[in-house]
Amino acid sequence: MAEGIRARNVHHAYAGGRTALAGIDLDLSEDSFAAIIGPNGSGKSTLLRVLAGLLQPDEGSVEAAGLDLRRVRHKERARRIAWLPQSENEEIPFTALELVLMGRFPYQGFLPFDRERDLEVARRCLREMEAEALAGRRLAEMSGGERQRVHLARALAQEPRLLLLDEPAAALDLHFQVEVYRLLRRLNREQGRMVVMVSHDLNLPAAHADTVVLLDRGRVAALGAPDEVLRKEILEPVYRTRLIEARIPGTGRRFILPES
Amino acid sequence: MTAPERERAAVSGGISPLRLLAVLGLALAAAAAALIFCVLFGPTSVDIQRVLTFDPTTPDYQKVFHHRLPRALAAMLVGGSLAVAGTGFQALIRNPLASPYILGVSAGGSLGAVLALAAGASLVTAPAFAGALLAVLTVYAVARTGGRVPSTTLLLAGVVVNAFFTAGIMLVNLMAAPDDQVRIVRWLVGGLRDDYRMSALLPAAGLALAVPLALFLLSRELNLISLGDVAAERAGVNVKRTRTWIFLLSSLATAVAVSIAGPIGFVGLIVPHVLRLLVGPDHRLLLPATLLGGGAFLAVIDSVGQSAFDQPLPAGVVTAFLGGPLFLVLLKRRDQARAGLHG
Amino acid sequence: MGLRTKASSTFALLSLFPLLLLTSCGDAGGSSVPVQARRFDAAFFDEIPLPHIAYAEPPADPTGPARVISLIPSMTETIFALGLGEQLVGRSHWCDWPPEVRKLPDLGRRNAISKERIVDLRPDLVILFKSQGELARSLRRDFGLRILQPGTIGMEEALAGMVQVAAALGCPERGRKLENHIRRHLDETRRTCASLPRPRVLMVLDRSSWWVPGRTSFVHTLIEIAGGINVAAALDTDRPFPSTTLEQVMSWDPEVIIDLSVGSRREASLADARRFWRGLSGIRAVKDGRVHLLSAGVLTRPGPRMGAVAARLAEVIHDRP
Repeated sequence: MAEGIRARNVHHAYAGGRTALAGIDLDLSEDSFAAIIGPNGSGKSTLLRVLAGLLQPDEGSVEAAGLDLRRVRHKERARRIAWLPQSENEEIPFTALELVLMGRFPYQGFLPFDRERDLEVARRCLREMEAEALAGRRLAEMSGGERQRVHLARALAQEPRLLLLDEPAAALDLHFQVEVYRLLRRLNREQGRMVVMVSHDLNLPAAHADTVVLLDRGRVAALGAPDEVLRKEILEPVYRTRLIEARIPGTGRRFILPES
Repeated sequence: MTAPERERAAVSGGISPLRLLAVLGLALAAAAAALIFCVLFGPTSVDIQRVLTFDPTTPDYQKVFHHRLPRALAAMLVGGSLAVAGTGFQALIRNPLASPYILGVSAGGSLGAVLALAAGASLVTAPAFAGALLAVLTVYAVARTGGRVPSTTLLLAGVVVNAFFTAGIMLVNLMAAPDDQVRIVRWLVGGLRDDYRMSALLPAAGLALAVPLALFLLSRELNLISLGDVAAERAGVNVKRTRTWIFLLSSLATAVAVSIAGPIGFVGLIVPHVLRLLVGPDHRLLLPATLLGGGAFLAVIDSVGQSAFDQPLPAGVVTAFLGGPLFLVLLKRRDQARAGLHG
Repeated sequence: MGLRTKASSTFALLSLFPLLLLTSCGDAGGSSVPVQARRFDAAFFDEIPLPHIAYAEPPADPTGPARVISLIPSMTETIFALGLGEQLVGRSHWCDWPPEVRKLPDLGRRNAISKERIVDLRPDLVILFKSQGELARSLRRDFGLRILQPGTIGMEEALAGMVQVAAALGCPERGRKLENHIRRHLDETRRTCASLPRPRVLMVLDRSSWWVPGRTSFVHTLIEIAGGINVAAALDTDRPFPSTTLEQVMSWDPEVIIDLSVGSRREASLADARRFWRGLSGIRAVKDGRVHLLSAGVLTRPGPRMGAVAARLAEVIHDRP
């Protein structure tokens, strides 16, 4: 059983007949920090949900974090894999601590009480997200950035080996965008967790991830280190627009921009 | 619990058995107060001194222990069941209008009862229960898509089943004998009766405790599902199975209530909202609170309805009058709170 | 305290609830007191015949209404008691006496009367309740029919209504004769009962709503004529059939109870009723075995049989096991 991610021949079509995934084969090692990029409709979010075990593909197999996602039980899966969607309901009446404690669900037993261990983990996760001060506040009363941190803390409370994030920095302002990526890198490098994120942006993820997966119309068009994948000749046919490659003066890091 | 109190409590820790017992204690105290109220007040005067001599031959003792107390306990059973059912449905459907009434269970129970009344029976607990179960199964069968019971489909199915059974009720009422019509109308108003049999009340009481207990064990799942199906699924909840369980348990609680006291409205809608304001959205506290709070509420309403007006009003009438304005007030407060947050 | 102990203690607390229920509703006194005196079965008041009166004068005057529809059961009976049954061409569903009236077309139930079928029968006169105002207005205004809405509340109004119907049918003399006959019968009963002790009587028309005869209803008058004291007259209301509470009933502590809640399926209702009253052994009527379970029907019909009804009611009221 693969400890990282191993997907074979994954196909999935939506109810209307629209094909989202048209034969995905993917191998990612368990210490990766991967970014999935691609134009709209390329299947990024769908793939993420399949990798999270939240969507059963029409065909194909997926192993992730040591689990066969076709056969795994709900709580078992939630102990190893955490998934964060693009946007969450804003009207949450619970406090940050209450919400993060809910992330402990896969570890809790028959009686619905919170134990010491759960509280420890929840507080630790809030601390890591620099959200400890928000513990007693209700989510509905927080700003977008604060909420995002709390949701991340909740995902961490699952103590997952694999973290799947769909555009984690999308609604955040620049300061928090950088924060989030730094945090993810820490989770990956220092805590040894596998991180896979979907991103519209080509550049920031590239700065942090060690693997980039390019999707094109439901298939993997390219997979490799950022420097290998983020090239004009690879990206232009997929994004169907002219691109400019440039280098940041100083670091020499590559970045991509649309031409006009 | 006000916002600062909750903040303090939240920072100090999650829900421990101790905290639950504290809330439970408060709720039990409220329930006890309601019981005492119902015992002391009634449509006729009772000499407390005489009652306290515990002499079973005095009318005062009989009024309190053979009439007021059992009636209050039955009211608590019904009110608690309805409130718990409402809490379950509201978490399941994530719609503030969700109530036991709207999902057709009440109508089913009423149809069963009304058919029995039109056939000349006077005690209709069993037929009402059967009718309610039939409605539940119908709604479930109609709403079930791909093994799940999605919220919108549930609501729609409930509305349809409600309409259908209500039509049936009207038909039966029309065809019934005048004597039976009187009883039918009285049933449809909803309220407690004086002619219960213990053989009907005891199993009802058992269910009225077992179902909330089962839902309580699912509190964490209820919390997660109230956030959304996806939110719950990714936290490890078997959403398909859990939703079915929540639906069936809440419907069962409704069936119990309706079979004893007919279709009483608003309790299942208002009590969960009010108690959510008081104890917060966590179902581990909310469920015990609504069980006892709903019970206390209906017991007091029934007692007031019997005594405060020159014609005794069945509980269903009083809740109907109170329910509308109360719900409007609640909605206003919600909107104000929301405006305060984003305004 | 471990989790398990906490859970089980909560459970224990909650299970007190059904125990409380059980002990408080103690089936007090499993007495073998017969709840119903043997003489009167539930059908005691069924099949009471109409008063048979020999009318001297000839029947209806030829210019009077020849085709009559009656939607009021007591007035249907009245028309037959006046010897004018042949003029009836239509009835309501609940007009069921005398038996031959069932051959007539059934025009519907109280709130669901078929207007069209009424008009189809080309009546000269339609008799209906005061409370059927809408229907009356429509028949008069849209179809030009002659209508009569006699009063039916209270003894005097009921008797006046019967005379009114007789007059409308062109036989005012027969109406007065019928009225006198009924009054004489009632007086006879009143006189017979004058020498007997007057027990406190509770008549219950429906147990689920606790409907009782108020002091303005004709049933109240019947009870008084039959030598009883109607406990429900103490209610401060002008409604003919107000509702009360079980507690009030317990306070009244009547000596005789007449429960008319027997439904159409008699056996099951009787068993339920017996069980119910037996549980109230604190009430004198229950202790003395003077609870009578009867079917309503004619008792609540202010028609020509009131005289006979009062006489039978007196039998029930003064009966001692």
